[in-house]
Amino acid sequence: MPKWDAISWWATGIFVVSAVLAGALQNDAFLFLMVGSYMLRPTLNALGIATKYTDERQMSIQYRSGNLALTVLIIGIIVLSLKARAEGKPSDDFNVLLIVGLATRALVGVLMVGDYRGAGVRISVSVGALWILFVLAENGLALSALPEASPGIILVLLGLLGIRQPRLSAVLFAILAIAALYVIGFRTGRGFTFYQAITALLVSLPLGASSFCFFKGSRPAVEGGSPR
Amino acid sequence: MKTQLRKYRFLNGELSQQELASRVNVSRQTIISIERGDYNPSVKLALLLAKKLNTTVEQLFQLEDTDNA
Repeated sequence: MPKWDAISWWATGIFVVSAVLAGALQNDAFLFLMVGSYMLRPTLNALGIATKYTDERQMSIQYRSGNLALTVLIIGIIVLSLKARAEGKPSDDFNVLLIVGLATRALVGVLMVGDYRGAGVRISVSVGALWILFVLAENGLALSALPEASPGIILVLLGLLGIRQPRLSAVLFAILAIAALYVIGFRTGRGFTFYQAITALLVSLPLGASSFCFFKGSRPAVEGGSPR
Repeated sequence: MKTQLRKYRFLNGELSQQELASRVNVSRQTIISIERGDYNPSVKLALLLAKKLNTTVEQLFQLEDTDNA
């Protein structure tokens, strides 16, 4: 059992507050806050915050259980998505959840490897290739699909450009990320709806991450690797 | 990986698992798992354990034939 420490007190505090709010306001939605009390320690550990309260074995258990939980969650989302489709209901929410979860995992994994230039290439080429695949799946191998597939092709090309010209790629990806945010979110003038926010996140985040990676990767590598 | 953690705990004034755990800032369960061979500590923890038990990492932990390179 982990030692009782400051994080334990915070987690207990969140638990008590959620129970009190749910009771006082007669709204069981506040019980969702209890998830926060349960996830506080693993989240802080994963973010590298409050490391003095970290037991390394506990952390390795959390990583393993976290990966298994993600797999179970993904299977659950897929089952619910298929069920919704079979009943003729929209399944977009489930698909978005699936993509956000998987994208977060992939992004964090690629960034933590430390090879920023390689990470930039992997992120941009993967997103571009996925875009092209989706277009091909919808339209088949038709020439008319080319305009729709062109954003994906541009992403792949910019990603490959980053191998030789990381700084140029970083600037271009930053411009694309800002342009995507503007086009998706603000052009309508009505601000962000939930789906716009999610779409903007899914499009801009990989672009922004690629820009960041190419910028970091444009610095000359230190001989012998990282000292940490 | 073989460990002599238990032996060195006793050579150091019969330190309890809890006392050793407190000295290296991990849980008692972690010490138990290391002694059982269920958990391989990080280099940092191995060095800390060796320091607190007045020995070296090589004395505390040894590779076995089954530990593939």
